[in-house]
Amino acid sequence: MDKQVRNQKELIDIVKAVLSVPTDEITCGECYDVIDQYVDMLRAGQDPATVLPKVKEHLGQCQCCDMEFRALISILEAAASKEETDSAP
Amino acid sequence: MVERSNEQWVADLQPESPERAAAIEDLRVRLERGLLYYLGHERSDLTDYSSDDLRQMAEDFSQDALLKTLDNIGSFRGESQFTTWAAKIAARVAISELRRSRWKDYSLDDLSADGETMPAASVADLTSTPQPQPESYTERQDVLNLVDDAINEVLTERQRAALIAHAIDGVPIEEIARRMGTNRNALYKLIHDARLKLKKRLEDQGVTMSDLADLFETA
Repeated sequence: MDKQVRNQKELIDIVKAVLSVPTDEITCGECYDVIDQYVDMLRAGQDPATVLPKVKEHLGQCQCCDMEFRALISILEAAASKEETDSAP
Repeated sequence: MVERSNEQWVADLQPESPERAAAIEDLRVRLERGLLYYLGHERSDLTDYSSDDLRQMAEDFSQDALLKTLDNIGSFRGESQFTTWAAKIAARVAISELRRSRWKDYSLDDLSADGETMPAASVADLTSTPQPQPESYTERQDVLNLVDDAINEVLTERQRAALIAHAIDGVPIEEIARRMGTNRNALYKLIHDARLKLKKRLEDQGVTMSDLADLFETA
């Protein structure tokens, strides 16, 4: 494939991608390795970005990782709400 | 459902543990419940599915996640709650499977994907700009021409294909990686390097990031 990019909107999308590139970031694998720690801190009321700032940055850059992060929160919230229901008098 | 510490989870899930069957069932139920909630409440692309379909999906995904959790239990470092670590695996299983199904008709040879595209993974919203003055319009067009030339001249074919698929078509990184026969980490780096190359090329031509932001960001 060797497509020529001509459409103005497409070029502006590329400009967006260039503008938002950080110069020092972690990989998807590095983010995935610690996202469970990140989420545990978040759910405990802490600010995980102070301990794992690169994760927060990566989540802002990578839609795939951000989607997994939000899914993880959702899955855990469902489990937590069921436990509250089970333990209710 | 029994509440377990991390150590208890790992011990109970060992092959020789007399608690293994109960622990597996507890974990499976937990993951399936969480996945069912996620599929039913957080996935707008699944609104046309019946509750039976979603239940089946949750069951299938939780089974896969359970197997992956058991296969990888040796890599659990105890730095998070075990249930969070297992849920992380479940989240990835579900999203990967749904993504594979959604993007199965997309070809990297096309600039437009079949079906609804996901929004591009970029930070700034540059879609609505105030009507430019003639001078700034010319300048914007000049810069866009430089960007167009840079894409064609400084990127490798793989970089160009990956960047276009991701930044323009909004194809998820994992899907592009699968199509290109590589892994997500490598693909993310490929795209990252492509963006850095374009940034350097533009800067070498006297176009700074500040210039780009001034020309293309919303007022």
